[in-house]
Amino acid sequence: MVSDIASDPLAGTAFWAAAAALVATGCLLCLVVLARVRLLRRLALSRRAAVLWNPLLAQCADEVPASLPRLRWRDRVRFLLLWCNAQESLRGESQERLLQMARRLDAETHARRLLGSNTLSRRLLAVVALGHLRARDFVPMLAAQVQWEPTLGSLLAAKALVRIDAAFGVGPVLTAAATRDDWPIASVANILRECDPELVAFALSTAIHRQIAKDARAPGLTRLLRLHATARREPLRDAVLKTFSADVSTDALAAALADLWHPEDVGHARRLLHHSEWFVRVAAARALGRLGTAEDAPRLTASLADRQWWVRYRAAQALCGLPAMDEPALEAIGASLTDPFARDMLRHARAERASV
Amino acid sequence: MSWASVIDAVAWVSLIYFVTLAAAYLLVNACALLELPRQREALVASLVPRPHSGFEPPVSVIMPAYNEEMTIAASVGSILQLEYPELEVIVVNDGSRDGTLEALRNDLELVPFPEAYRRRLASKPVRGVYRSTRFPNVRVIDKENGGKADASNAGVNAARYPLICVVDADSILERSSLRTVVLPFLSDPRTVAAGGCVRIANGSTVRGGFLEDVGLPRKMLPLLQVLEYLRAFLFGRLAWAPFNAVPIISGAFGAFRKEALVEAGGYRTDTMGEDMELVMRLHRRNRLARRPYRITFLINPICWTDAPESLGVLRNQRIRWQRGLAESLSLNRSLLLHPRGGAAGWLMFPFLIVFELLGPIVELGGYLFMIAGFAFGFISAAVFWSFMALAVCIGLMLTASALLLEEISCHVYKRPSHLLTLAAASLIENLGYHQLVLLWRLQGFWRWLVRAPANWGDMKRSASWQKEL
Repeated sequence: MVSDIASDPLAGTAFWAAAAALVATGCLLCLVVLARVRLLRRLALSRRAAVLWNPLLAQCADEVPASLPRLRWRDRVRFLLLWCNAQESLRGESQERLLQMARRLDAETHARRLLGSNTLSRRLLAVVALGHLRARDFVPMLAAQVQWEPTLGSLLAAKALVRIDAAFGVGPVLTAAATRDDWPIASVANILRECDPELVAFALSTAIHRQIAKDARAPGLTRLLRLHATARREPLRDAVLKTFSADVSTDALAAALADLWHPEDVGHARRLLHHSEWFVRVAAARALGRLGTAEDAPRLTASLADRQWWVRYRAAQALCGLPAMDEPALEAIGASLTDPFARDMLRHARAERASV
Repeated sequence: MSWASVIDAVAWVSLIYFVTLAAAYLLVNACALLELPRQREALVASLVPRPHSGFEPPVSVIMPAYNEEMTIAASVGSILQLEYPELEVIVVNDGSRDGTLEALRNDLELVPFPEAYRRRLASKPVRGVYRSTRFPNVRVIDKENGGKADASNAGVNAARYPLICVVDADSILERSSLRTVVLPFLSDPRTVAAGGCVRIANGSTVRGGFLEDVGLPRKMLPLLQVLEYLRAFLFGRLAWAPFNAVPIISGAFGAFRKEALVEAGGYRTDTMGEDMELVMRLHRRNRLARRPYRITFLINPICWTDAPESLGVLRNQRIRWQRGLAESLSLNRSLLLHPRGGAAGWLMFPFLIVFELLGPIVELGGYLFMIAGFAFGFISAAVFWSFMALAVCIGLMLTASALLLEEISCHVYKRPSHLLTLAAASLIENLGYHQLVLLWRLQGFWRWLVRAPANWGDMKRSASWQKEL
């Protein structure tokens, strides 16, 4: 058979291909074993670092540990990871004690060196750590990263920036939030949540005014308006109201309706309840649910027959939530309805209200 | 042309196909290998700063259920324990003949709810809607039997939130699964669908609706399926993610942007592979309309499912899957080599046709040809044994590469004995099991060709891991 393999090209090709596949299988299995060994070693180092540093980090909740072991080069990434996680989970003076501990261990030097790493996760860890370490000389670099880095890197830079210097950082972050459509608004809100709501309100108000003056129809205005939950609402009121008088997109209108909170502004919601875009009507119905009075009942009752399910649903919820709208009143409205969709929706909302 | 040259030509075609198949799958694994660092980096980075935490969009979890009276309450319980800030659970009882609705009624303390049901997607008539008095975010839709796709559509109709996640009633999710599968929707607004990897729960320990200890099945059949899942359903899907050409998001666990799903028409009820067909349709519609979109596959959000432990059930499943593949490709054939098809139309679609759809014909044909040729003496022993050795070695090599990817990525099977068991099983897999599965797949293809009546078969599952719930 051996001579056949040598003489028959088909048998020879199949044989050598099989041999190559077998050798490749052997090599791959060796790599599997190597990967397992490497992983076990890494896990052991991580465990050792956790055993060494976690009790000391936990101690920072009460006091800075009196004596600290030396932070070894090979442990620097694991320590910074544990330390950053501790910073994220502890609050108040504990964070200050963690900072003292890191300074004593010269963690900043280690973090700065990691910035030059070829590994993205290490560079990102360095950005996060330097933010927690309040490395002020790092601010210009972070401000540039907020503008130019890819999504995750820029978001982490933004977080570090506002952590080091919120008064300076909130402005550039909001500017980027308006222009960078790769930034999820949820992430920006998460970053701003850590800042003083008063500070965010003034910066956000300025950013909204600036955006309206520059290009009121740009999607950036909607993005800024959707950040209202991170700011104190009083200083924002003027900026939000200006949206209603400017030539803005329907998305911005819907976002502005979600920002309304002052009872005197209910007129905008009433006016927009009949807007041609259904999602504006939805936002208006929700706003009426927050700000409406008994006199809004007929408006909302009319919206129960809207052709869009969501408008009917929000109008029904708003109607059920109006002041003095008790069960007999809702029963009477239900009895007066001729549209079966409106009737079904009101029954649905009443059942929801009853179950809460 | 003489007989000898015909035989020679067929043998060469078989050989070339086997080698091309190996090269193609190795290339797929290489693509998965390139995608791995990106997913791992994102995971590592998200562990540190938690960039999206607290602002995740609310999710409607849809759980179609048919004859699940033994497990449904535990399944709902495990969904309610997921780490996610805001979710609603919609259980759709698809006309179960057992006590599924009763089990739900008792466990969730259901009361009738006058839902203003919004019929955006066609489904069989809804008999009633119930709301849980124990968990305000749980509703149950009771409808006439129409199949899983039909039940999922009914669930979508009742969903309130912008993202929906369809979960099998017999699946077990990791606590963080939902949070992770939503991340692509947060980081890329173009995302319309995201799927997570599905793994086999047989042999693992489940407590309180969650997987406590990962183990390997003690029975051979599910053990061999673990290897298949690793090779085909994990890295075979991950490889397509960087090209935005993921061919399928498993019906056992997948998240969708509701409006994109509704706009595409929801799940088709006339196909056996409704999950794959939906994803192929999303590719086709978005690519051909030049709409920016993204369909993502993530390795880390893990969903554990029960693998068939009997040959009959496994056979039905594989026949169904192959038929579903054929139907999905056939229904979306306009994507194939379309000028606007991109990677989905020019890479993924031809790959599926050549290696997944036609693979069983060529592979089994090659085996039969060699066996017959050897038996009747027109193929030499050298050619026959070399060919068989090649077929086995290629199978071993592909499994070994999948094991390597598993080791450097998820590392789910932690004990050294797991590795040894899987390596040993890969040998058995290529000495009979793989060929048997090819035969079933061929049957599935044939049934599609002759338009045989659809038959889901009896999908009895052991759910041995559920006994500890």
